[in-house]
Amino acid sequence: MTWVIMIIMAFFWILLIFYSVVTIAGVWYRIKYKEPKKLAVYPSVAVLIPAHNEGIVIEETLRAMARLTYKGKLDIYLLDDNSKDETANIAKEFAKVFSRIHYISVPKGTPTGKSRVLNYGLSISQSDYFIVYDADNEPEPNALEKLVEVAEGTKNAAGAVGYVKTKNADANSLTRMIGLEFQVFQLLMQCGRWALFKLGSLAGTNMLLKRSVLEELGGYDVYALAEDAELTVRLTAAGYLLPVVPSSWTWEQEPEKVGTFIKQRTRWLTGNIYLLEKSIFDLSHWRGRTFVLSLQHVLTYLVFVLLLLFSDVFFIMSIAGYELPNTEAPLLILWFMSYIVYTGQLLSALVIDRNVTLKNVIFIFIMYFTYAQLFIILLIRSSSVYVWSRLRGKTIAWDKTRRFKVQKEELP
Amino acid sequence: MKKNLVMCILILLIFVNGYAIVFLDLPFSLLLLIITGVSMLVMTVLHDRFIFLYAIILILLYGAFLTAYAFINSLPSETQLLLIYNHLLFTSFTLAFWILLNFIKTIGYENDQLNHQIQLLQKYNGQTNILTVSEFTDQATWALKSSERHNEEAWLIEIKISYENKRAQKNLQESFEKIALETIREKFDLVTSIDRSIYFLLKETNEKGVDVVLERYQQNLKGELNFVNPIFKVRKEKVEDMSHLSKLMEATT
Repeated sequence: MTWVIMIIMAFFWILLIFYSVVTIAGVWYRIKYKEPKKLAVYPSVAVLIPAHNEGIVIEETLRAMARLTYKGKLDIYLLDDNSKDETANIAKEFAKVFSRIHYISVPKGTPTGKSRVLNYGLSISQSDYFIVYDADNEPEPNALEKLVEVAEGTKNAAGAVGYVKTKNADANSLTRMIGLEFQVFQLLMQCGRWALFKLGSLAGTNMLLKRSVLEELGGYDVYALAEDAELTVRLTAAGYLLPVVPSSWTWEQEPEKVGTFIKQRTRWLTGNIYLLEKSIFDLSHWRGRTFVLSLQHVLTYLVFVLLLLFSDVFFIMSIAGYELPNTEAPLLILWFMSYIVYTGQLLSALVIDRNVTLKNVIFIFIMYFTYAQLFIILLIRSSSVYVWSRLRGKTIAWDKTRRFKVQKEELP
Repeated sequence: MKKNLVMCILILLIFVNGYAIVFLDLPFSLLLLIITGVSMLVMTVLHDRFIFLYAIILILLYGAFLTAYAFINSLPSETQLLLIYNHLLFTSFTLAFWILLNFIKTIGYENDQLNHQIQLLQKYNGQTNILTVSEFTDQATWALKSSERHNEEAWLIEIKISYENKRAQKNLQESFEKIALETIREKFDLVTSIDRSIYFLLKETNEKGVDVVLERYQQNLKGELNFVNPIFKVRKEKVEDMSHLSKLMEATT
């Protein structure tokens, strides 16, 4: 038992140091960040928007797409994956008015999901680059332009990744915490990893890629549920870079109900377990910069949650009066420091994004005890879903995230 | 008033924190006092972009030092708890001081930004940067006076959008405005909009020049929009003076 605890302590130390260094590097990168230079000629870009029953949000999305300012050739493809609601009518109306907006009906096929739809979108379009936006996204008008400028200005770049902000952060406590989490993991950690290891990871939306690179890699993996994470590993293994552009913003809707959140994150986590399994059998995932990426996956999706679970077990045991084994390790202060690092990351993200408010600060102090604990449920749920589907030899179906009607006039 | 209250609370918090560091007699009290004193000086002179970076590095490093100390000396839980109190005092002091500095500097920046934004808001319209009606009127007064003195012509073009479908109307109007800006002579002619009408004021030109602008405008629109038949009505008028311009624009609103 003592040895188990010592190993856990060692992982605690590694995690604390790793995340502390990445946080500081992320803050440093953001402070020193300079806007990209304008290009003489802008390459052609296809915007791909996979959509399945997105009637609630698609009008606002297309409105934002029509506002995109881009000096090169731009075509926007709404890829309708057999929607049964208003999606097609709304998209067709925009396509009727604007020459660069196109409505595309995607033929039925299996396995269902975003990867297959994106592969179809690539097959019917032609451009130097393509950019993916989820159907609930409202990018800032200059978001695309900034990504292209950075991608073109970075040697050996496969594209570039932007920042995903939460548009319904004020809806309730859950969306506020998701928004805060995104500020840390979507941006601060991304910036830190880029500054330290030249590593970027695709976020599934607001991500620009060179068409030729994706063709070279054989397109999207249609069985991957976290297609962005899976593609990131392949791109990194092939030696490409994915620069992070913190000033390219898109606004995304996040789940407003715990049930929806758990369903969405189970899919993400299951997708990452699929990726972990794939990595075990592919040695290219454990070399050079890809090693850091794979290690970060294991640390985030497995080790962190397991440590959280252990820390909870110890906490409950000590409250219940059980005597913990004598480990010669300062458990109490280690636990305290993990709380400080976690909260420090969130606070850093607030500061860098300039949204320090009393409400946000109160939330970050309680997130370790509330929001972070949800990830234990998620790991157990997604592991069991994954193992069960592997035992039955079945493909896990794509679980679409439910959208909510947002009551707002304009984004900030 | 609210900001003043927040600042007073922060100053009070810093004093209470400092008092606790001095008089609670926790382990490393003297070290803590030295670090906080030096930090106050460093944070005051640092560029505001780096103050938080400094604060977070210090908080993490001090935590790492206390953890390592507890590990090397195999401290019991009770002593670890004292170290945790020590770190909490340090963290709250550093953060409160950083917030205070940030608060003071933010007020200064906000003031500059607000002044800048007011100037912009007074001149340009939201998404497309065409002139606001008041700015258009102001600039037109000067332009028409100048044309009158130089015995030159000035023309008003009105583009009235007749597309009825509400869903894409907002974007359509923005496209019309954006293309209008791309069509005119930059920093010379003027553009504004009222409801669903776009107005161009073209200086030092004649009817032939107006037709050239209109032709270019329609060509630019074709590049952006899919309509085969025009979805707008055009009216062009030679403008005599400011009152004439006001009447022409009032006639449609």
